[in-house]
Amino acid sequence: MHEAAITRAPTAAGVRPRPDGAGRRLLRGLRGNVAVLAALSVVLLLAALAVAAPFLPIANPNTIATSERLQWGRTSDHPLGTDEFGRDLLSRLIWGGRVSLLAGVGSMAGALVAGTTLGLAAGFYGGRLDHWIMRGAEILQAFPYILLAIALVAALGPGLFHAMLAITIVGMPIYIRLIRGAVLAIREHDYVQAARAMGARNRRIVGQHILPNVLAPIIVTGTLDIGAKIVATSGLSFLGLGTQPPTADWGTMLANGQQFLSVAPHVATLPGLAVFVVVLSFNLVGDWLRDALDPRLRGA
Amino acid sequence: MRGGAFLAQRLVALVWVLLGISIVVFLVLRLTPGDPAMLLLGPVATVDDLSRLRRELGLTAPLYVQYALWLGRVLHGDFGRSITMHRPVLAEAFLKLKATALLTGAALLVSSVVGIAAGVLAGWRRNSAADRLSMLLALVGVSVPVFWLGIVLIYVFSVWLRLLPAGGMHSPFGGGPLDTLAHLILPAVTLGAASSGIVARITRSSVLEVVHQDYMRTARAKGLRDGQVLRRHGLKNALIPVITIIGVQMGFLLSGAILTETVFSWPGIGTMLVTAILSRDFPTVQGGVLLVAGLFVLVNLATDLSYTLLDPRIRYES
Repeated sequence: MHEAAITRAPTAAGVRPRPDGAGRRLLRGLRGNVAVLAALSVVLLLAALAVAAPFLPIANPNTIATSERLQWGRTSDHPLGTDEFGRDLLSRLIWGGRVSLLAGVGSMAGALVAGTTLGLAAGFYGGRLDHWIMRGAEILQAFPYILLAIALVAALGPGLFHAMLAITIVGMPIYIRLIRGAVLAIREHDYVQAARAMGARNRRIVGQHILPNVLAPIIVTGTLDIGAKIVATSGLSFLGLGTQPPTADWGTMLANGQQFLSVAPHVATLPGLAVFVVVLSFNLVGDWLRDALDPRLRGA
Repeated sequence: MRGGAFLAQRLVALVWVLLGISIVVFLVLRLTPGDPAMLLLGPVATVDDLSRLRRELGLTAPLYVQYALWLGRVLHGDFGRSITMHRPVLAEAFLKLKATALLTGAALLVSSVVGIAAGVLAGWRRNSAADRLSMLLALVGVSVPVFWLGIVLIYVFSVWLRLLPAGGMHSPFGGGPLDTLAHLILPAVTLGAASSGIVARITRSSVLEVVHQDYMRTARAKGLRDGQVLRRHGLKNALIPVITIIGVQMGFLLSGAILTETVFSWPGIGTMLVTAILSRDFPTVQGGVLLVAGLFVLVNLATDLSYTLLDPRIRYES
């Protein structure tokens, strides 16, 4: 009697229980959350600026004007002042953001794709392949993060692409471990066994049954990782091992500006502030995604 | 698993990891374009000098023989000679390592004190203004790049207020303890900031877990005041995971030290490595990276082993 009342009640009211999907959880997490809304706006604005940089009515970021060096204040031509070569700082920040964002997202994407592929292979096939992939990941993780990246850049030579490649390689083990663990848990589930019994090929099992189920942790970890990758690639540029002059990049701008800290603090502080705001925004967005897509990781 | 068996298993794994590290370090720098003999002798070297040095260094042998020879020398403490400093790499690296250890140790102290204090306050006074402020600062701490925070602190405390030196430290303890302390404060705070954010977050969640335990309720029922309950029963249990996280932070701090040293011109191993890379001094890069990575692995092992000592409830399974 009691059970019948429970099942009938929603129907009588015209309300059917709806599954609590990821989209609804995402929207619920956004409601009233000013910090995440602000962070999302920053990320979207930065992405828009990065894409639109060549079409914006801003000065050429590499045009040198020594007579206008180290200016600060709201002059008509340079809203954020100029650097040690008289180059427009606003323009360099926008173009530098394009490079820094590309470096961060590119290294994250590289580490994610390579790490996910290796993690899937290790978890799905197991055996000797799993053993060697995991030993490789262990060795990579045995190095302090930036140290191995520095050693790799030392070998490859300084430059943005080499810095991105180094950060990609160093960043792979996180994804390998994450995905391998998830695959080991999923591959024993009934639906995977059923697919296998029905004669599905390995590629189909991985693509249709395993990969969709590990997507949530991949998306969450990837978003949280973008900030770390922007800091890492900017860090290498700051050390002189990443982007090379005259290309604008937040890390190199910061390193060059440090020499003029006493006379023109804005040259070093503005690019650093940009890195900080962007990383903070990605961390907030990542936390929001994690809470909505992978609640088991909440508070991790 | 018993303690002895666990230790033996970890030591065997350690040997494999160290061997793997040595292979990576050797290959990464040996496969670098350019002739090491040419780098050592410089552009004025004759063809005879170059071929003699190549034979002496074993560069004419197959790669695996070169690796075995190099590893043999490393195991005997010969990490090669620095091309730019003209000194044995190991001696130079140990000298710099002292400065890095001082900086990392001070940063660890900063992160532990600030992180634990903020985390305990936030967890004990959940949803209060202090909790929200602590967690906001923790988020700022983990998001702020060390190289920028260092520059901001230099601007405020060295350029603007003129309270602390921005750099100029030549050797640790060289100018007396007060001089060392003055030079140490800004780099240690810079390096410790991010780590203190992580420690604060872990401490908060650990305190939150502990406050609802039965023994806390019993302690309150016995008539103990809030502070006494926290001190006598709460912290003892809440800080176990925090201490292990602090151990993990050592590795994180070693990475951050490389950037922090560059900002403050701190005479540590990070500055040595960056200078060596920019001047293509490969023996120094190879030796320095190997030494720091080896140290990092040992610190991680010590952290793992400390779990069982701190919490006898933890037993390792094979």
